[in-house]
Amino acid sequence: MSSNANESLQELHRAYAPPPAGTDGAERPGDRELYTHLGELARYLDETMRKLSALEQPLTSSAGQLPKASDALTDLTRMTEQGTHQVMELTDALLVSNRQLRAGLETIQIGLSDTGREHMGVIAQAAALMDLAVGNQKTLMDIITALSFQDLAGQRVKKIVGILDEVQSRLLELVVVFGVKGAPKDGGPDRAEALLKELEATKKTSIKQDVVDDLLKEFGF
Amino acid sequence: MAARTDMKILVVDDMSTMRRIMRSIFKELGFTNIEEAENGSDALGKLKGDKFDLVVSDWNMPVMPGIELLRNIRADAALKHIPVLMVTAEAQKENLMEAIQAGVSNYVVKPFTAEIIKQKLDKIFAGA
Repeated sequence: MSSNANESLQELHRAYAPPPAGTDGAERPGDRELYTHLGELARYLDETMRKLSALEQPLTSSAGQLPKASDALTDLTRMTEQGTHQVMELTDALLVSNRQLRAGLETIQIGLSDTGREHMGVIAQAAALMDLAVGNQKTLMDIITALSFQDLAGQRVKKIVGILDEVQSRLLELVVVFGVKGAPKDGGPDRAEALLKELEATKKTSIKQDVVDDLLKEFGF
Repeated sequence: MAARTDMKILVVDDMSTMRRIMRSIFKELGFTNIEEAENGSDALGKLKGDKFDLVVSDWNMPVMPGIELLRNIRADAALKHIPVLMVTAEAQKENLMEAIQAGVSNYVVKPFTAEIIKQKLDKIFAGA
């Protein structure tokens, strides 16, 4: 861990030290500072995810929606999937063509051998072409198996999306938990709780960026 | 004894590209009787509805992961004899041990080559 990060953590720990005896329930000196740090972290994560979203063109047709970073990553998986299928389509066509080439060469080899005469090295040439075709077959199969990168990339993207969503949700929960002790801009604790419930409810739907933004704005971030 | 080229194979993976890659490899090896499923639950339904000679499954899938599919296959009297080849990105020793304890027939780590799939098939069906 960098020395700056370590210092920040120590600062947070000092600000959030256990309360002196007899003061349980009261806001401690470090509460407001910790809350501010958490809110800033939540905002930083939100801004980072917006920047990640901006790396890809929005693929949703609705202009009013700001794509989440996790949506952009999911779209990335879909785009690589489509590209991979296209390459496999072309490779499959080449495989079929190569098999026909091999069959034709085999026929020529058999036909020439049956005559019992040497045709100016044509038989040897046909054999060389057959070797080439066999080599092409292997190369084409290697291309197909190499395309499994898309599956591996997709699995990693899914993990990242899951982590991002979880971190964001937990940070926002912390912002609300600490924020209801303080003074949110509008509506008070009930408004914050309602927003958090809305956030939970939209976890399974594709749009929650606006809820995230509302929640952060509610607490001054 | 080598695997029969007319044997029926079930390829289970949530990624359509992987299912296609496996189909191409099997076709190259001479096996054309291939069906696909996109998760363990889908696969289990197909296995119970038809006769299969080999299951080739990924590990990480939604609805039902590959390891759970394997356990379900081994727990079913009508299916437990079917060889199961796990083809997965899970390369940890713990995953391999878990698959062995669950009764996997063999295990391939992604990325792989067609030669590796052939070697594994030969090993699975060597004693058949």
